[in-house]
Amino acid sequence: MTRLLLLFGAILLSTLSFAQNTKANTAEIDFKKSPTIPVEGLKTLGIQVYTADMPFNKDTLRFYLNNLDMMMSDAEQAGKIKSESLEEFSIVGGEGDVTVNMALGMPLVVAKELKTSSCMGRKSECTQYY
Amino acid sequence: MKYYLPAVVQIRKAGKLYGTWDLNPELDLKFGNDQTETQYESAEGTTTSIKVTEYRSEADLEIAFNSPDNGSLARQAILKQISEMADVIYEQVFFNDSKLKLDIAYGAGKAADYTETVTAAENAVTALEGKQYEALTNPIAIWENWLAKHDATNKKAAVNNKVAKGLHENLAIAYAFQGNYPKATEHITQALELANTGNKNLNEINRLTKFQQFIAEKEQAELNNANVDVSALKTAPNIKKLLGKRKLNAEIDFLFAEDKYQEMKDNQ
Repeated sequence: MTRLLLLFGAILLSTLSFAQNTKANTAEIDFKKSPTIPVEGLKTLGIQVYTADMPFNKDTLRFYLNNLDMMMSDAEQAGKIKSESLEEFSIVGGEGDVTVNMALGMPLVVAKELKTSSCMGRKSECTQYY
Repeated sequence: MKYYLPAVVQIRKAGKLYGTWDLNPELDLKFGNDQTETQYESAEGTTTSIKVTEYRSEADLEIAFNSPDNGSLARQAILKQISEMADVIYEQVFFNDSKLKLDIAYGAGKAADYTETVTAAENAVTALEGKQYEALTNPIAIWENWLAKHDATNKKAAVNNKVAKGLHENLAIAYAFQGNYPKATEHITQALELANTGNKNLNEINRLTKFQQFIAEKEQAELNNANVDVSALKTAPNIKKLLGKRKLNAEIDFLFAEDKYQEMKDNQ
């Protein structure tokens, strides 16, 4: 039995040693990534977000938008991610020289898990869904 | 909690649609014990308040969760998707300093002397890092020659499927930086086909798929912005700050309570 196992191992090893593979050298490249949208003549970038039947409109959601600013990554907050444009341009609501439209579909709660932990800034306990 | 909010983004110029992006609809959100900053404007001025919503029992939490006034989740989800939309703008409308790490493969094994592929890989790395893309022509010729030996039926062949996959990826990279996009696309497609044959490595498939997208975007960028002078670029506006900071977004009316999701999905 031991001989059989050794023989099997030897066959496997010889098969693997003949199986060709690849190794690699790594190239690290720094480059300027260009926009995919034609940007010549861009003076205004229009943004239109269609929120459907969500419980907000342009007046109420705007109150909470500072949380968008807070949601930026640490690198973004620190200004380490720097984007550039061909010319200075302004952001407008509605249509612009280039217009970005976003539409939201139907929201759905897929799964939730109950969790109890200390409340924000207090020692007492709060329940929440994660 | 696992929350699902589909969102679609389209960018147009002069009425022409340049691209459609489906944002990842799967969001991880939290309900309860979260902090929200709100602002109310009145004749007397503006009041800003920070509110922590906290629930002391499961019953209180459930009541709040089921309340028709509960907009917390929808608000969080919208903010996350607007943030994603801003990332699409950064990628597609702005110039960005980017870094890429690309593996250039060479053959390894006892079936052949792979020295030529080792040298080709070393020369290609030097050419890519030095932005001397014309110098990729020689490695390309070597890789094409080796690929002619590809034997998909024999694992012991000098150029079996694994070696061929590496060579196709090399060629996709080299052709992409030489600006030969049809060839780059052809080779990345073949690398992906081989990656999807037999035992699949999801990391490898993701890497190849990402590079396939890189090729498509590089081609699109060259097609649409070939003649622009990039010698005097300006710092682009910070979309997230402009939309997120109330002092800056007051005049930007960009939110519309209209349902256009299906219309935009149908019109791609």
